[in-house]
Formats: sequence, C-alpha cells, structure tokens
Amino acid sequence: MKKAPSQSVLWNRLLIATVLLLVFAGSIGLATVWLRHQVSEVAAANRNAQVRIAELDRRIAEVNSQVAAGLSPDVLLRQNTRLRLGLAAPRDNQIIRVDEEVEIRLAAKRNAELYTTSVVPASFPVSTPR
Amino acid sequence: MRKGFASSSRLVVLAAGLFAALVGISARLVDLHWLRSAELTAFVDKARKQIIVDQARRGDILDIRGNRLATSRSLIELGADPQVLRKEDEAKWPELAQLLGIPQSELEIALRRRFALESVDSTDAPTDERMSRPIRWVRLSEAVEESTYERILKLNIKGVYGNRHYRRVYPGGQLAAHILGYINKEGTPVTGVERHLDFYLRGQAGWRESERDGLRRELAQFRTREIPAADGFDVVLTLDTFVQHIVEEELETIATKFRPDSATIIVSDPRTGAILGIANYPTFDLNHYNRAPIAVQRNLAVTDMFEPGSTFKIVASSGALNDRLVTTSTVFDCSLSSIVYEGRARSLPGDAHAYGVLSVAEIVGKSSNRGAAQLGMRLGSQRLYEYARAFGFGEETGFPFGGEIPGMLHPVRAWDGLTITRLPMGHAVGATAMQMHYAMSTIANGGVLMRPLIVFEIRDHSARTIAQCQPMQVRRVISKETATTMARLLVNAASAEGTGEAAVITGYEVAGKTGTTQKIINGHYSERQHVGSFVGFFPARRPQVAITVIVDNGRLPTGGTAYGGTVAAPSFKRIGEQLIPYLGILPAQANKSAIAMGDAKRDRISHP
Repeated sequence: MKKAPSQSVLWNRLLIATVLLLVFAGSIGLATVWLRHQVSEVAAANRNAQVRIAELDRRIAEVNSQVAAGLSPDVLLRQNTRLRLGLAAPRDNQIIRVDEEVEIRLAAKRNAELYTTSVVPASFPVSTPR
Repeated sequence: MRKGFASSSRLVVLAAGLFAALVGISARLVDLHWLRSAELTAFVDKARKQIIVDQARRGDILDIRGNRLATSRSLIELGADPQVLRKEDEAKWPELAQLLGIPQSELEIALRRRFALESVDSTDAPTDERMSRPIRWVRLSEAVEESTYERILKLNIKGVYGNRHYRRVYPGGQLAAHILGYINKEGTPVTGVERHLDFYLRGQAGWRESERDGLRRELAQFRTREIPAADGFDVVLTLDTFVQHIVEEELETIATKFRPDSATIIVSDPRTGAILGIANYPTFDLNHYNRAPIAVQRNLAVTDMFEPGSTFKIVASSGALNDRLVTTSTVFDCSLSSIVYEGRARSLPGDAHAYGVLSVAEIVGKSSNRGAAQLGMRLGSQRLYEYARAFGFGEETGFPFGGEIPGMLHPVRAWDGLTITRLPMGHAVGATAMQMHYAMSTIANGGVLMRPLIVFEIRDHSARTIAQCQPMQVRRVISKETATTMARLLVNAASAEGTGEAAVITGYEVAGKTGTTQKIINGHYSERQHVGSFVGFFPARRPQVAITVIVDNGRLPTGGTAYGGTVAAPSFKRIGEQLIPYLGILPAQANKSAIAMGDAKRDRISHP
C-alpha cells in the first residue's frame, strides 16, 4: 500500500500549512492591533497637544486682558499717585516742534560733532633701530 | 511507513471543533449584526458617540492705537459635589475659602448641605411629607480666574471642580461705555459695537464627531468629522483711549462743578469725520452693567435732542453768505423789535444785550438773536429750511448704532408765523449733539458734511485687514470760500469780543460758537433750566479737531444762568489744551521753517 503514506504526508503538509496560515493571520492581526494602538496613541497625543494649545490660548487671553486693564488710563493715574512718580503731561512750552527733516538734522548734528571733536594726545612705544 | 500525526479521528475532531466554532461565531455575528442590530447600534451610538462643540473666541474691540477696549477671557464657574467630598479634605477648606474670597462659614454651609428637601406634590407640603433629594452640584463661585483655579486644583479636594466658559471683560471699566455696549449674562450682545458688529465679533463655533470610553474620555482615534472653530474678528474703532479718557475726565469735572442732569462731549477729526472720543454723563461700568439703569445706558449724543440755540446760527449766516445775499460787512438794525416779512409784521426775539446796527460778522460774534432772525428772513423760509437740511438737521447722521434719532425739523408748510424768526437762532428745531457737531464740522471741513466714522477696520487674529471703513462725504453744503469766511467769523465769536472767550487757547485760533437755550418744561420755556453748549474747532485755518460740549441743566454754584460760555466753553479749552501736545497740533503761526515755541526751544536746540 503506497497510497496511505503519501496521503498522511499530504495531510501533514496541509496541517502545517494551516498552522502557518494561522500564524501568519495571527501576525497580521497582531500587527493590526499594534497599528491601531499606535493610531490611538498618536490621536491621544494630538488631542493632548490641542488641549495644551487651548490652555495656552486661554493663558494668553488672560494675560492680554490683565495687560489691557493695567494700561487703562485710570489705573495708570492711580499707579502714578500711589508710587509717587509725579509724572505729568507735557506743557505746551516744554514741547519743541521740529518742522524739518529729522534725519538730515540729526546727521548734520552728528557730523558737526565728529569734525569739532578735539584731538586727544596719545603716546605709544616705537621700536628704533639699534 | 510512519503514520502521520493527523489520524482520521483527530482530524474529524479538529474539523468538528473548527466547524462548531465557526458556527458559533457565525450565529453570534448574525445575532449581533442582524437580529439585534438596530437595538445595539442605538445603544452604542448613545453610549459612545458624541458631538463635541468647540466654542469660538469672540473677537476683541480695539482703539485706533491697538489698545483693548473689550476682550474675552476664560473664567471658571467653580462648584462642588457634596456627595463625594471626603472627610480628610475638610482641613483644606479654610484655604479654599481664602482663595475664593468668601467667609469660611459660608463655604462650610454650602459644602455640608448634602440633601435638598423636595415636595412630592407641592412645595407647601409639610416637611415630613417631603422627600430629600441628593445635591450633586453647589456653586461656590461664578467666576474664578485661571491662575486661582490652578491653585484650587492643587489642593486636590475631591468633588470640587469647575466648568470653563468665556466671559466678556472691559478693561477700561466705564471707558467708552456708550459706544462699546456689552454682552449680557445670556451671551446676547445688547447695545453698541457689541451688538452692531456681532456678526464679525462672534465667530463660528466648531464641532467634532467622536467617541468616548466608559470614563467619558474622548477616544480621539475615532474622530470622524471635524470642523474647527473660527474665532471672531477684531474690530478697530477710530476712538483713541487717551482722548476718550480726557473726554470722560472732563465730564467728571463738569459733573462735579455743575451737577447737570446730563452732559455730552464729542471730539472728532473734521477732515475725515473720525470720532476720537465721545462720552456722556451719567455713565456706567460695563463690567457691572446690571447695576446701571437703562436710562443711563443710552448714548445721549444720538438718542436725545435739544434745541441747539445760538450754535444753530451758523446755518442762517452760512446760507446767507453762500447765496451771496450778504457779505460779512452787510449791516442789520438789531434794535428793531419787529419786521415785516412776506406782508406780515413779525416780532423779533430779544437779545441778551441791546444792540444797534451790527454787521454780519458782529451778529455771529455777539450772537445776536435779532440779527440771526433778519439773516433768516433775508434767506427766506424755503432756503433756510434747505440749508438746515443740508447741514444734516432733521435726518440721521449715519452714526451706525445706539438708536440714533433724526431730530426734528418741520417742513416750511408746517411753520407758524414765528418760525422764520425763531429757527435762525436755534429754536423750533430739535437736534442731537451728533448733528450739531457734524454741522460745525462741515465748516471746519471746507463746507463738506461728513458721515460719522467710528469703525476703522475689521481684522482677523493675525492682524490682517478684512474690511476697512473709509471717510464718507455726505454732501457739499456750502462753498469752500464761504466755509473759510464762516471760520473767520467763528474765530471772532470765540474771542474776547465774542461770547466764547472762555474757549480761547493761547497761541491757537479757535473757531466756535456758544449756545444757551431754555429747556421746555411742561410746554413752557423754563427760566431756570438751560442747556449750555459750545461747538467749535481749531486751529481755525487748518482744523484738526472739532469739539462739542453740551451741558444739560448745569447748576452754577452762584445760582446764575448756566450759559454755554460758562459751563461748556471752558471744557473746550481744557480738552483742546490736552490734545495739542498729544496730537501734535501746530499753532496758528506755524510755518514750514523750524518753529520756535517759547524759551525752551531756544535753550535746547541750536543748529550745528
């Protein structure tokens, strides 16, 4: 009887193939689970980042509103009094109005300073031939 | 031959097992996906699916220099669930009370009450017939700041938690209260810019469809559809915080000195119509709007009208000059008590002083009622009416919010016999402060009436301009030459020779007109109650600022009449003096060369 062994081999091979197929399918399943886990991890990280951004936005809004409140004229005047700074708006006779090109004026002033600066005497060692 | 592992019996068992398993799985799948599909899907949808709404942040309202006038910030409504409070956390309650700024006893009462009595049928039922209902939420504070909330969370008191929500805050308090408006507790914009530009400010809420786990945490990986929230745009106004503050400070001064029923000040750039500052007395704090009566919340500058009085004389005089019916040197006999007009003798109104013959320039300068009446008659009823309409009386100025009224200017057919003599001096007409301000600004702007400009632009959060409002001309009312002539006459009016001496600013040409009208009380002109006003601009040759001050029923400490020259003109001067350095307004004598202003200039600047 030569047919029986070949049949069992066939069955064995089929079984091994099935097991391998199951292992392969299992691997794919595990890989899928791992991928899904990664997806959920990334999604959770994104969500946390969004929450953090929203939190920072809230902080910025809070600071902005505090700054705005701190810069309101009434508050500044109270601070001026409380800290005894004595700050006051300029009077008209304290204001100097420059009705010419400011850049040219400043450049001219600077150049004049350069040319009229007095020379400061300086001494330094000079090597002489022996 | 070696027998294989898989004997027939084993294979049969294995096959049967696999078949049974497959049948079992199939049966389960059929049960889940077919027989109970609808029921289970509904359950899963209810239990896991959720739609999360992302609230958009409302845009800010800024002044022309970028200062925040209204902004949104998140605050936390803090509460506790008394059912889950732990005994060991009670030691932390004093610190919690301190952070919340409430007495400890009050906090303890709130936290220790775990059950509320609830009637079975009615609340009138006796106590023993009532059922006790467990309290799951007791509010401890309506608005806790983020920083405070963080400190509260660090206390780690189980059962104490908060819900975050956006709250509108107005950093300036009462600054520009009548312009900004406010958002009420339901989140509805009620008045002012908040309401008028709500479409731009409110933004659009976003949403996302997602799932949650058993602990109600979002499973972000199952997000399916997501629409991000679009924050509201910022609105930039033409108002300047500094100018606005000057205006409101001046109103406080007026209120302290004269205890008026109300007062209004408007400051604008007559060349563009842009309003730099506008305020009314009485006013209110926008952060505590619920404490202010509705009457106080009205923007009186556009909602209330008054008889403008002598400030209205600019209409008849401008009209007569513009139609070339008179020149500045044309004279009128202001001693006459009546004059014949259209075949009938008309009585002329009285003057504060007895005048003789006055030129047109003197009529404006000395504010002669009889002179103004004769100018009106020279112009004729129809032309006088047309000029009044052209200057913007009897129609809305176009101020975009606050419930503006058109005032009152009757058509000629509705005039009685006295109107032609009374209208030129500002009686028989009802004007708002805004109308009077822009009528005067017309002269300052070379004869062109401008539309009030209060919104400068709308920006997105990256400061990109979405829309910009440009200055808008309404119409030309008088020629440029007439406007120049009128400005010159008004300089006389605001001088030692005129009625507005108190408005004079040294070194600057101020053009303006005082006004004083008796208030109508119970249908009669009151001898004791007056509306005093001053409307003007400066420098007269190159107007940069127009200022209107109106004081309703000011009470002088001396008990005298609250003339415009007494109660309003000094305010014009004080405001003007503060604006000069801030806006860099050059004096009348300015020219293109370097300007020497006082000794300081000579001392500190020397040309190289």
